[in-house]
Amino acid sequence: MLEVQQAAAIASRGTPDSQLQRRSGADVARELGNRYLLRYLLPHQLGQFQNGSSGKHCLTPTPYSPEETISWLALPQPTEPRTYVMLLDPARISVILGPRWVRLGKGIEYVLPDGFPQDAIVFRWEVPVT
Amino acid sequence: MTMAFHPSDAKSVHYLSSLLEKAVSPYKLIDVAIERHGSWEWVAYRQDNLNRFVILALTETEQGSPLPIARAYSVELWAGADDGQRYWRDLVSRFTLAPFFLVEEGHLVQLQQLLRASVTRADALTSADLRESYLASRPLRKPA
Repeated sequence: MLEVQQAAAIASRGTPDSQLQRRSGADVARELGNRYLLRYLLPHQLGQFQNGSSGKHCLTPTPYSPEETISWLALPQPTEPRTYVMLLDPARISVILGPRWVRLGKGIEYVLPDGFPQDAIVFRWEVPVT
Repeated sequence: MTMAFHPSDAKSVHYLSSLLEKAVSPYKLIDVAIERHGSWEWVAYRQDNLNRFVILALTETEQGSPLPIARAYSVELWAGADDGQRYWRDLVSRFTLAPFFLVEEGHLVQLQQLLRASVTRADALTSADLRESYLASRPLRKPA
């Protein structure tokens, strides 16, 4: 049986992190139909987050080619397409903010205010994107 | 002031955020040191007939460091605007600095000037400049 989930409203681009909807990772996982969240990386960041992270991160549910990451996510360093990605299981992350439309880009993003634990990382190694 | 700057260090973040807040007024700092796919971003925003953004981004780099040390930051200043349907962003400035240069007075003055230039650029954007289109959002369907 096909289960239809009620999706959360996507916050406008001018919404600060502090005003984004605060949700459990399990709630976001249901919203995404148990799909993973993606965190793109620059080559020099490989291995940097293998034990998880306590910093604030932006993630997207949408897979992009390296070139698309720049325009769809409105990223800095436009000459350096993000060529690696980490897959994170939202169900294993305690607090997730969002979703929000990406400012000056076309994508959607979620914010991890307290980072992510090691066991949220789906694959041990970052995945090259082609 | 001597301080090894790092965007994940609370003291560093507070220091740079205070500087930004003053330099970009009347823009309001709405996001601070958020890590977005390889770069840390500070986002300032104001709304009139357009939504206007000034963004400071720091990206660690091993290239172009002015000193023989491994880590430096590529510093970028972006000005952008949207009307909810169309948008545009311009790179106002990009340069590379060693971490402690980010808190060195001479460079701070330069950074403040570039932030003001970014505000001027964001303020000058008009509807005619918005050459990219956002995706049209579809209304959500309620479960049957």
